Amino acid sequence: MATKKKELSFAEAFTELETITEDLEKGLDLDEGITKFERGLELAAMLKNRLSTAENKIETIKEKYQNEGDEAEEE
Amino acid sequence: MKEYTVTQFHKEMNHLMKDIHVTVVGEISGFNISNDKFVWFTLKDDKSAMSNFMMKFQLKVPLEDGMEIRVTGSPGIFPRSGKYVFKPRTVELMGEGALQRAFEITKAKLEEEGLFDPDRKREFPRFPERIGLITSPDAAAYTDFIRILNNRWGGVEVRFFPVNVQGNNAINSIQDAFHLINSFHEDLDAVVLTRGGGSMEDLQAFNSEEVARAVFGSQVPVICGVGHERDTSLADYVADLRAATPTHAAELLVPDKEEVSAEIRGLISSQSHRLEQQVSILTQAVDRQMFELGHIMRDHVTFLKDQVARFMSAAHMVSIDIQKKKDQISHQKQLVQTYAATLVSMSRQRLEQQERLINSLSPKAVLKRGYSMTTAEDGSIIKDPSQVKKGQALKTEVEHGIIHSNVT
Repeated sequence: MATKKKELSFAEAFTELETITEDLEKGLDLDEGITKFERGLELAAMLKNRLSTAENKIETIKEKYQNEGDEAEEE
Repeated sequence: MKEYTVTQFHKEMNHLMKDIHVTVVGEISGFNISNDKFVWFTLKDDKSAMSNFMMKFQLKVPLEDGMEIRVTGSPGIFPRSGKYVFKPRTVELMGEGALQRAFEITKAKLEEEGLFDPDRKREFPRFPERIGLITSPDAAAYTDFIRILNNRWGGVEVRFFPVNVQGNNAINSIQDAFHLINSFHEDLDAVVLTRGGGSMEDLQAFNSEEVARAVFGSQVPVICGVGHERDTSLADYVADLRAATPTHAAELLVPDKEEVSAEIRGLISSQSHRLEQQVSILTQAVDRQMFELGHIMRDHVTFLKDQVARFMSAAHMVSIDIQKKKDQISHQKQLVQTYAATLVSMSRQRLEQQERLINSLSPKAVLKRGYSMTTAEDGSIIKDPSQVKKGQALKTEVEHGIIHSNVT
């Protein structure tokens, strides 16, 4: 499965977006600035999409620690 | 009647008593621990007293004189002294008073050990992806937490470790959960330990040394939210972050997606503003450059025009000069030519003069006048008769020829 930017975690993507804002504050050559801004838009769209669609997944861990040494391996 | 020795009798009594399992309540007095191993105290009510003995490692709660407690165990006799004692297997604190005291004692102990140390509190990621939840599946705490979590945020994997949050098995089940997490779930970003409100007795497990140490020993940072807002359990003190309620725990754990959304909009907005600003600055700079460049070009053109004009006027001067020189030269040439012609004609005149002179002086001219020139055979001119001898041949040149003669 293509990994490129798709596998960026929410935290990583958000941090990258904040970094872009900092970089632009510092002042960049215009070409670079526009490129980064475009990347920023891309990240923002991805983040917004995740925010609106992601669901929480709840899983009950049934293992008990003691007396279940071998079976306590949970994946 | 059967006869016993003292030893035998004690042994018999112990044998009879060992199957007696009872729970006795009373107030502690004379509590002490000897050799850091042997726990002694007296349990009494208003009329009677009973000695208690147990080993230190069996004692899980702090005890103090005056506390009301509940002991469960069996009576027995120490043969050597004949002392009748009760040997508790479990000790439970009773009533707010005892529980409050135990809480204070344990709190002081743990605080001294540094379990509450703010420096060891760990940070939580802003956007957690995997979290552990330790609570009772039947409790409102569970539903409250999950509901708020779902409202606020998504994309989180929640691993739920069900435990007893009160009663006999609470401490063990909570310890178990932390053991599991430390062994197999270290990839969690955070763990939430929570339960709803209750009496001090209900919340006991969370004030126990065991649970406090389990929280402290967690490899994953812990958010603890036990009881109502005003309750702070020892687990709360030890945790990396303290929540007032299960709902509050969810609020601390994950951000609100609306706020994050607004923050993203804000970031994009400041980015685009910044870019616009930059474009504006650059545009102004370019305009300024153009303006200056224009000036420079105009100045340059003016300068060049100037140069050309000067060159032209200088060139003009030079060509006048050249013309002058040319005129001079041709004038000179003329002079030279005139002079040369004069010279030539003068020379010719002189030459002609000389010619005439020479001609007039030439012997031929003399001959023309009738004279003659006589020469000897050797060519020498005879000017004197003495020069000749008789019979000598002579040549006489006259105007029209030569006469050969001999002297007589």
